[in-house]
Amino acid sequence: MQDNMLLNSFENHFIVSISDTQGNIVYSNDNFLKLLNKPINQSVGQAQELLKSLLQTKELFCQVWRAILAGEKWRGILFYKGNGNKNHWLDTTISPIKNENGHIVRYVTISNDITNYYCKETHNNTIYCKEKKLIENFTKEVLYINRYGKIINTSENILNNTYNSIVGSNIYDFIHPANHGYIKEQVDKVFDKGKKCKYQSVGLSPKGNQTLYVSKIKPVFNIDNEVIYATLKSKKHRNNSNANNKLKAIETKYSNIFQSINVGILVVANSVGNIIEWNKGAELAFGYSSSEIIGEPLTILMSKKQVDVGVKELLKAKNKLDNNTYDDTIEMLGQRKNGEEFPVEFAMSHWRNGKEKFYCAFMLDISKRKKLEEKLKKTTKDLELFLYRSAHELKAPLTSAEGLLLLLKEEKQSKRVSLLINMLDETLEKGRLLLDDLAFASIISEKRRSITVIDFKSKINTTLETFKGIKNFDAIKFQVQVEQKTDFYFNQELMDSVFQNLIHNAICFSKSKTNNHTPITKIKVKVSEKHVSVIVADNGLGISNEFIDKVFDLYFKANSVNSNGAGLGLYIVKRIVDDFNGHVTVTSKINKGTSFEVILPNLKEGELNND
Amino acid sequence: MLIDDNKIDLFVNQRIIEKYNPEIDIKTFNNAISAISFFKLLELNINMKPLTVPDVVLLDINMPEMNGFNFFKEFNRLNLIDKSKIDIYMLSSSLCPDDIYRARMETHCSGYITKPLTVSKLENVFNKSVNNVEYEKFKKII
Repeated sequence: MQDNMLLNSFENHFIVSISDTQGNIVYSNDNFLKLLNKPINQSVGQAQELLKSLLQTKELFCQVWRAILAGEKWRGILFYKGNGNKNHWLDTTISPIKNENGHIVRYVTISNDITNYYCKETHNNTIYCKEKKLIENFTKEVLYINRYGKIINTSENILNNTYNSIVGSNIYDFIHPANHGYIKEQVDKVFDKGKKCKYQSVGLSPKGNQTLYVSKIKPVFNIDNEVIYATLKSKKHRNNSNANNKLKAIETKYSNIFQSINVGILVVANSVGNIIEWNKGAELAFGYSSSEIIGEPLTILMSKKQVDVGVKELLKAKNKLDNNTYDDTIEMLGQRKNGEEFPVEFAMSHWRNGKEKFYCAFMLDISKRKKLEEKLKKTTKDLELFLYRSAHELKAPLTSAEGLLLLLKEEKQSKRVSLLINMLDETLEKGRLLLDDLAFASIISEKRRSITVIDFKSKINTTLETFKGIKNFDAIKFQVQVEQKTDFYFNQELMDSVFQNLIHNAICFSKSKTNNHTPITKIKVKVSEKHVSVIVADNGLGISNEFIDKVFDLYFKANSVNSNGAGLGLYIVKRIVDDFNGHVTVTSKINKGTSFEVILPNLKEGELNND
Repeated sequence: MLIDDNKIDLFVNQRIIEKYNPEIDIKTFNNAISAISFFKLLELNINMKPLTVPDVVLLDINMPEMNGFNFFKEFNRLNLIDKSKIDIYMLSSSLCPDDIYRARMETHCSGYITKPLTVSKLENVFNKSVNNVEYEKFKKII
């Protein structure tokens, strides 16, 4: 009884038909006939037509048959265009019935007319719904595409009407136009080279929603190893879409910057040193277009005269980079396509991509800077020459005055006049010394050219010789100590000057001799292979801390009573030391004395700098 | 013979020379061009009595129009007899090694004297020219 009721209710609600293995309907309920709008006796045996009308497309037809022939259930939504152009949507299950031997004998088709429900939903927003399914299917299924991006088939039959919309459409319809070029490249790669590839793209729905997909394209070969079509599988990247969007934005930014920036950038691969990327800035600077240059060795950009030097520099920079030291810059002479040469600076950086190492060079045209540098050098030289010449020109009237003074001394003179004359003489002498020092200071850089062996012992002795007669000199005890095993090369005049100024300084600031105090000046010279260290130490007045930083300043005088100089002596020492990359240090204690240490390089042949 | 554009220097040097030896005959020129003209006159008429060839020339380097080195250029072109007997000394306030080097390179330059001129420096000059000893070709008198 219960079974009967159940059956009745079932029969009332569902459209039921049973067909034989040939597809002929052997049983159908009233609902079925209602749907077909045909009398009962006509219905039997008309299965073909029904099925035909239900399974409108060949693919669907095949799919259904494949499933049921395999003894499996098939469920899906079928569309039937009934009488009076009334559309029916049928949620249909087809299940095979087997006999005791396992052979299929009947098919039971149970359908539920969901037209009202289905259409209601779709009717409200047909396009949206369709698109949603479309996009979903686009991403869910494996698509078969040809080389033009046309979708020729899908892997599984899609259970609703979006199938038709997808097959025959183009993958580009679903992709943001900004990505088209890039994806086309990928598709071409797959078809031309038979390689797999993976890419990211932004999908586009007609409503403007953007979703990030990760897609894989694999080529499918025929027997002759030709790519006949490719499979495309896409996955939504919903969760990471934010991060990926950012990544994408960065990538776009990078590629835009790379192409448009005026700074030349070239990327060089490690293994061979060939240029693999080239941008507009580099094109402007060198004159090669990217198609001409890519694949060429980097040496093509170097001046032919300096290839050896350039390569050496490059290798040096590369080694530095390999050792993970900071990015390096190298300067070299570049060569344009038209043969012009110009100075160029590369800022090198590198990164790893898997096993391959890449080097990136940012190129800066430094022609202007070089020109300015040269101008600066010339100006400095001019200025030094000007100073030198001026000092000499100023000396001329001084010497004339000295001459006159000599004559004046010969004349008869009163005591007062002779006192004045002596003072005048002293003043002139000071002026002359000042100008001599000034002239000397201005040509220190020039002096470095003539380098000879220095004999320190005799040098110190002759220097001391010149100071004889100076106030305090006789009272001072000089302790000279020279340690020398190898020859020392330096400019004689400059070395003279160093000793003269340091010793003169020591004499000037010594304390006068008393019973308790003997002024001592120690001169210690230590020569090594690379350097000489000259120490001049006195036990004199010393320099207070507030002045000690200033002793090397131009025209600085610590004490107007003791200082006979013009404030140039130590400045000259400092200039010499700086010019030869040496060191000078001073330590001092008030009333205990001062010690100067000068370290200068041993300028053996070949170690001379040219500038 | 004294050649200097600076009148004070000329005066001073003249007085110093007089002091050294009042009997020395001094001729002064305040520019090198007139000195060259003088030598050209000598070239034309070597026997003219009032014009005698100088034994010693003290030549300033820095002079307008024709400086000491340009003087040598002109002087070298002259066709004087006994040209080598004339001792020409550069007289300059400059201690510039470059100038000294150039003076040394001049064939007719006998030495380099720094200003101011003194009696003792002059003694040094005339010692050589009197003794005519050739042991020192170039004298650097500072």
